[in-house]
Amino acid sequence: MMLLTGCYHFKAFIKAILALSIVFFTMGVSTGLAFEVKLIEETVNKIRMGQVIKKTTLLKQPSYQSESAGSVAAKENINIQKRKSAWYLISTDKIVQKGQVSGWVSMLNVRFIATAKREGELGVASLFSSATNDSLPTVSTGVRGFDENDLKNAKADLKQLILLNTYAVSTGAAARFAQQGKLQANKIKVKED
Amino acid sequence: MKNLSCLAYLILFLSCFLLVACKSTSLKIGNLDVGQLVGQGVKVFNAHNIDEEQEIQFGENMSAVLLGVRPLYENKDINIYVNKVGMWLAKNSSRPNLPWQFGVINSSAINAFAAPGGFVFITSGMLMQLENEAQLAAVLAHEISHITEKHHLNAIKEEANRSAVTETLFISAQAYQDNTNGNSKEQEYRTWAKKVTGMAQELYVKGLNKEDEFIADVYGIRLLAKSGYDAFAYIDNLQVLASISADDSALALLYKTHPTPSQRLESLTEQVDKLASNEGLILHKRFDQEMN
Repeated sequence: MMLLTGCYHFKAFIKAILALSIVFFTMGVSTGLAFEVKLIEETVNKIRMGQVIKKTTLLKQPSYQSESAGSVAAKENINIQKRKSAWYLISTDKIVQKGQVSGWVSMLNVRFIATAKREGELGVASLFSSATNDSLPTVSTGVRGFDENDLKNAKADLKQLILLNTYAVSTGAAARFAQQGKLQANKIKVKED
Repeated sequence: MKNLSCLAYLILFLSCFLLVACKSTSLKIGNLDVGQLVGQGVKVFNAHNIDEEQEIQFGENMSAVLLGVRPLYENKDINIYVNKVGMWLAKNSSRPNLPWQFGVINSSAINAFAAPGGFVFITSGMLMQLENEAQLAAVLAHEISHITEKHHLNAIKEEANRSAVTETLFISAQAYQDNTNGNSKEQEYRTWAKKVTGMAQELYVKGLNKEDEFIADVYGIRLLAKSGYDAFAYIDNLQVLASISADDSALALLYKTHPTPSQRLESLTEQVDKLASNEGLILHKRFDQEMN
């Protein structure tokens, strides 16, 4: 009897765990998706190091109408966290010291500091290294480059033209592609035009 | 008066006779095969009045030279993806009916090229610098704008004034060869290729007028916004280029033929302010999927 009761409790316990797992899994998926959508909306770059090219106002919101949150000095190093429209959310050591986490600056006042990408060849570089007709482009030697001398020694390649033509797509295919990505042709909003 | 009419008829008759004779006898004037031109119905070249058919043929010839420097990247899917992004932009441009073709050139150089008539190329080196579809669209939008604004054609009109432009540039290699006898075909091709390559060097080594580059930036960022992409990805691209050392060999030709990225960023300040209220898509996920 004790054994049967124990079994019953054990089964109930397993059921409860299963139910809770489903609830957590569902919550995880839904919050995960929400987080991902937010990333698509706002994030452009990985966190980058940069500098502002001139003394720049730091704003609380990504808008010229926003309240000021201080300023960043010319050539001051900044960490660029994300972009929204034409604004970067940045932080600096000085901002953090003042008890503030971050603020927004106009992206036009920012220049990136050279990243390791050119040396390390991250991102889609691996794709090009694994392909059949190419090795990873070598930046330092420019062996497979496209410079003035290459152009001077070039011979017209008519077979490549034919190959190029086989890759062309119709306007209908382009419209379907745009629709899949939720791209919509807009009448652009131009201020003072 | 009657004599004048007779004279006009005589001139008309002789012109018709000459054209028919040209077609049947493959008469050549200089290097130009008049017979072939008549046969194809191609108008005689006038650098200051280049029609769309001539523009496309000229662009095809320039593209053959660009592809002679480095071939297309072999991955078909990536080339088709670039064509879809490019065609969507072109569809929203002022010249949607050109036979647009886009290609990825297999080169470590960081660059992109346009040729008249709808030919656009991006190097694999440039593609490697990008992180999302909006940035790819930004590169293509700049090149599309050179074509819609006919910047290369304007450049060759200036060349035409210095007599460096010939009819050969507007004739395909095939047409150039078709009307010659078997023994001289190779020589005819060499003549064609020499002239076409010479003009491609002129256009792509010297580059376009710097003012045309700034104009292509303004039209490019607007085309990006008009096509539903995040217009400010255009600025992102220029900032990435600005962060690469100016003496990097991969940028040599781009720097020789374009204003510096910092100059371009500065000139776009007003546009960014004007377009500030536009919100578009970045599509980094689709870009990553297509690249992997």
